[in-house]
Amino acid sequence: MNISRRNPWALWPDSICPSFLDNPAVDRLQGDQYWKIDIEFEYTGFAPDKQKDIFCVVPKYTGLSIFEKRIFVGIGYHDEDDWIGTDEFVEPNTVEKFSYEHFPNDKLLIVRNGSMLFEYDLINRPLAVVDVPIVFIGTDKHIVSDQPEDIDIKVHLFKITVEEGVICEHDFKELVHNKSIDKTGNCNFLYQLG
Amino acid sequence: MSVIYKDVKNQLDKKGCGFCLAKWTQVTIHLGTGLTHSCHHPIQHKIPLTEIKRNPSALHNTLYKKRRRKEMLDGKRPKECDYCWNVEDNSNSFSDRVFKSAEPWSLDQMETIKSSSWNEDYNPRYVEVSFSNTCNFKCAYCGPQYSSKWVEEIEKHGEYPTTTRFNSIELLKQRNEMPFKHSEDNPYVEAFWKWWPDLYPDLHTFRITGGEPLLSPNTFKVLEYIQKHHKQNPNLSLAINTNLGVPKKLIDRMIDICKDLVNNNKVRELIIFTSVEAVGKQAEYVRTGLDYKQFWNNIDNILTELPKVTVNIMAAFNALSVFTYNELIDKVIEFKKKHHNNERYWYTPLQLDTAYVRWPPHLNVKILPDEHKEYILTAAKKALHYGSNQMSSLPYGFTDVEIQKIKRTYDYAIGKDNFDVEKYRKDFCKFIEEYDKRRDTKFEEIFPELADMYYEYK
Repeated sequence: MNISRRNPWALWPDSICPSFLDNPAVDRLQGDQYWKIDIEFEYTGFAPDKQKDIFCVVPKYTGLSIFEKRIFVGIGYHDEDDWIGTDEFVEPNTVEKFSYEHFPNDKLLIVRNGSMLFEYDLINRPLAVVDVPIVFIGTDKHIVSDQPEDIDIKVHLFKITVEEGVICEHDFKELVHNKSIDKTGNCNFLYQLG
Repeated sequence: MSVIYKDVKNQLDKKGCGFCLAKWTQVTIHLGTGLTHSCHHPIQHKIPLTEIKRNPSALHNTLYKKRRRKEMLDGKRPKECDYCWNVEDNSNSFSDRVFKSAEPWSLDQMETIKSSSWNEDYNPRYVEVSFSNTCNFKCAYCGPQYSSKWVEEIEKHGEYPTTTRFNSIELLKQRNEMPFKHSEDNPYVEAFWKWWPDLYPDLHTFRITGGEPLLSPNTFKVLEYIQKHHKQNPNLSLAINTNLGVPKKLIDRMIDICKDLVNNNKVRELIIFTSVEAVGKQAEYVRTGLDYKQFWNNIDNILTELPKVTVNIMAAFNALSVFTYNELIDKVIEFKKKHHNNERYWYTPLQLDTAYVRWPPHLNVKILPDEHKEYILTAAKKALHYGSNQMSSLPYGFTDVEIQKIKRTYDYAIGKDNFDVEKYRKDFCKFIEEYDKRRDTKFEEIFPELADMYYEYK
């Protein structure tokens, strides 16, 4: 899936039809629940001097960003967000595999290409529990109509796993009406913003 | 939004716990049968001919209704409105009394009505009128009250052999619901035309329904009146129901008039309502008289010729809708895309408004085997994926209400209640057997999916 700053994607099915889904996947991405996000992407290197969110869970920001090829990690604690610049970099047009695995009130593990990258202690400072979590993929700081349409990331996989198993999986091979079909059949679709 | 409704409820309750503006501000009048009600929850009551003779506004302001208004003004709850009292007494939800009173044609009338006397005549703001039951269709779920074709069939063959005595003329006569024949003078229509010049300037919304309205000369008479007298009410919201199965010259005539009304701002908005709830041969089986291909050609023509108008499909979702509703959703999205523009009165050029059929019970979706009910969920999921909102990159798609109504149909279908499935499956088969005989159709060929159930219960 080619994504530009002009048209990022959102995992927010309730915004299309409130209450259609009894248990949307985004509602599970909370500080009091176990969850794991897997994402595979390529960074194209377009506009490296501008921040690019690979994914983020908002309104408290937990996610992954790139700025001048450098990897930034966001941690949405219950009190405030931390924005951490790492010493890790990405090369354009290289497939990257990241996973964020959250153990409530315990730790957040971030794994890059199969290797442990970071472990954040959450025992005394848990992640936030919010009313309406939303996942954005490929956003800039703001969604505005004058953003460029050039492709700056290609996402190959996005997956959410909880205790019961995988509840949302996208390989972006099946698209309907600018929505990516959730392979699990749970209707946790991603849709393109505009 | 709920804050607004809470405020409306408080305003209503200050006058009385049973006070509802709809009793004054809105009305549905079936001129073909002389029946009326102000909201769809209380059953319709007969309009006395003696009353309209001296006062044509008694089409709405019947003595019966005035007595109900008196009860409301005196702080009582009319018994006929028990649907709302049940909601209010057994839940924290707002009842339709609140929603209907909050409508734009009602709310600004609150103080005027509060200070009115119970026996005053009041010109309604929302009027729905059926001039007659003349119709060239006889849809499976319809009946003689609304279709002259049904009258012909029942007079020739009698009622259907179901436990409910479906479409029994005798029962209609007992309930005083037999319509006037097209050829007969109709005093209710005469009263309407006496009242109309006084009514028209006060209208917020006027909706013409049927029968098939385009087969009634009165429909064109009303439309031409609005063309000529629009300055008396340029803010009218006009709605026309049609089955879109009448001769082309009638559709063209309607479009020509609508063009004048729309292009010259003679109305505030104009919406066309129609119906279909399946695809192809299955749709034609349910809606006897329908030419499915022509139906869509007519919608295409209307949306092309009238770029500001929205067409609303009122889908009466029944047991025979489940197998092709998915395809109907594809067709609707095709038209939403083709005719999308930013000029329409409503958000979308074409709207699919799904409502499930509860009567007759033999066509209720609850009669279906469980595996067939799942088709409804599949359709709802398809509509969900075709959904869009203001943030979406595609500006056209199904709205949350359109999607939710399909999902609600599924929830209803699988919901457990005291619906007697066995009884109504048997009724369904008796109905279909007779229906095929009378209409020279072959159910098993058109609905092979239900052949097993049909043979089992036949």
